[in-house]
Amino acid sequence: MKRLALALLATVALPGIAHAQATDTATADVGVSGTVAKLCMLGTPTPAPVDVGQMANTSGARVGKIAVIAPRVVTLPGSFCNFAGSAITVTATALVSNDASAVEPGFAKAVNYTADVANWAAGSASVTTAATAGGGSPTASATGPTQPAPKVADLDVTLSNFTAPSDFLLTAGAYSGLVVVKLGPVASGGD
Amino acid sequence: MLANGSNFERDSTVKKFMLMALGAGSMIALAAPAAAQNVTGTVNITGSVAGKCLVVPGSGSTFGTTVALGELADATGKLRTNIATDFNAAAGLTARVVCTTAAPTISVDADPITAATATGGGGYDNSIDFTASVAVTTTSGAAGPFTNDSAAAAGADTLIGGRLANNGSDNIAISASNFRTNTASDLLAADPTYTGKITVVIKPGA
Amino acid sequence: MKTSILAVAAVIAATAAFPAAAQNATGTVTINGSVADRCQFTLPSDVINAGELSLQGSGATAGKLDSSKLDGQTRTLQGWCNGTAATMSVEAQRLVNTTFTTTPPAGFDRVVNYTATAAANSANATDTSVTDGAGSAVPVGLFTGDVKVTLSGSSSPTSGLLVAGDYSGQVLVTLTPAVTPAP
Repeated sequence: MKRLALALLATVALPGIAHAQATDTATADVGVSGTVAKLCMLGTPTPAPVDVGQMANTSGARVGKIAVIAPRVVTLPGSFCNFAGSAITVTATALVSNDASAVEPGFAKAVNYTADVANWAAGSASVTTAATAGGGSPTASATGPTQPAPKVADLDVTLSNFTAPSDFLLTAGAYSGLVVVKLGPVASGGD
Repeated sequence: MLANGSNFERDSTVKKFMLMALGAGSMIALAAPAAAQNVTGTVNITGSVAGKCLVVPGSGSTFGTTVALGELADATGKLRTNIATDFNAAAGLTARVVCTTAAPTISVDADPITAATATGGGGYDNSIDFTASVAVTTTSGAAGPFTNDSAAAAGADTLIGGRLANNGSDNIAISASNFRTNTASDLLAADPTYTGKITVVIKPGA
Repeated sequence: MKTSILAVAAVIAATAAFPAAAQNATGTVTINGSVADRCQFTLPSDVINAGELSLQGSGATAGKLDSSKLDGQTRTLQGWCNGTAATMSVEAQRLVNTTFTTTPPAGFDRVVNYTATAAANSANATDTSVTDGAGSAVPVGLFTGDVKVTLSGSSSPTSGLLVAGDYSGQVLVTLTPAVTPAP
């Protein structure tokens, strides 16, 4: 008896048999975005309010007329703008007598002064009030130079150069004035 | 004396030749009868053909091939949808088998293509099921297809339904279809070695 | 008369001696294949818009980083790795002011740092944006599903005021399938 045991296996060898190589790594991304809005803040004025005290001479040749009043400095600590291109606008209202009655000729019921805000931009923002003897037009405003970079600083507001219109005699009583400092972007000039 | 023919006829089941020699010096009275008397010798020949199935050419008993499908996953990590096309295009999926019997049987067993070490689970599968199909040509035409799915038990011996065609061409053709993972969304676990098998046994039968 | 008979009987059996067992034909088709180690993101990107990053109001911290805007932010990506040796790493890239690009004055910052964590398949990879480059890779293995990115620990380098403008950064998550030598 004959028995042939030929194995008829035809192995097809394909060159493309894949072995376990790493393919490209897979990368995903989560983008993170946010904004910081433009913001300016002024520190709390210290000291405030400013009491100039007795403004008229009580004796001497200039009795009744404005005395020499030493400058006062108010600090606004930690003021900042977080963007470039900001400026100080200072609005000063002259010291005007709280007495509303009209002033007699030769008398003034207003005291003018210069308000100067320094330490922000290269130059200070400065304004001098020009109230009339009768207390008219008491308010003046000026904008200082532009600060070209974000900045945090202690602002110094110096009140000086106290004068009476036409150097008239000052009427008696309490006087009150106001300085408003605004810090903001140059274009809008607000906030 | 020659045995007469009638003795031979009575002893017809006994297969033998009888030779007789006369010694020298004996005297034989040759009284040949006038009529010739015939003798008949009968040789019976018997043989048998055992039922068997052979692969042609070569008279061996095995056939087959290895189909290398390469990378089984597509760009999304799932089973390639063109696996069946690649399988059925492979060479060596046909064979010529001759069986001496009139009622040969066939059995088909498909084993899933399974990873050597990687395991499945958690959205992954490590084995691929499919359906193997064998088409057979008999002397009276096409028979089958005889199928077995790798997820099912091995197929039992089934009558092919006629004698295998003996016309010089391949009469066995193997194909496969319905390659699939357990769930359509399954990804394939990585493994450099996935192996499966189709076993077809053709027996001469009764 | 002597007769010698030599009878020679030879019996020739003409039977064919084939085995009783039948002979089968067996066909075997062996099927080979492979699946390469791979990783892929099916949801590969997302965006966290944190909005205004600085503290508002007028307190002492006004204008500085509001860490609650970034801390706790989370986004979920989708991905898979089909091999057991896959690893994952994450890179946190700091938020940088894209409007103001010069060195900020003293008291200001234009950068926000944070820590990013990527979580997948019970593995956690982290990185801080303070140091350049990705954090260490951690084994993540065979998985398909969520890759959750979370931010925490945000800060600015000098804890100063944040310069105004748009800030932008990103978190990169990398899945690496293992490299194994060819058999």
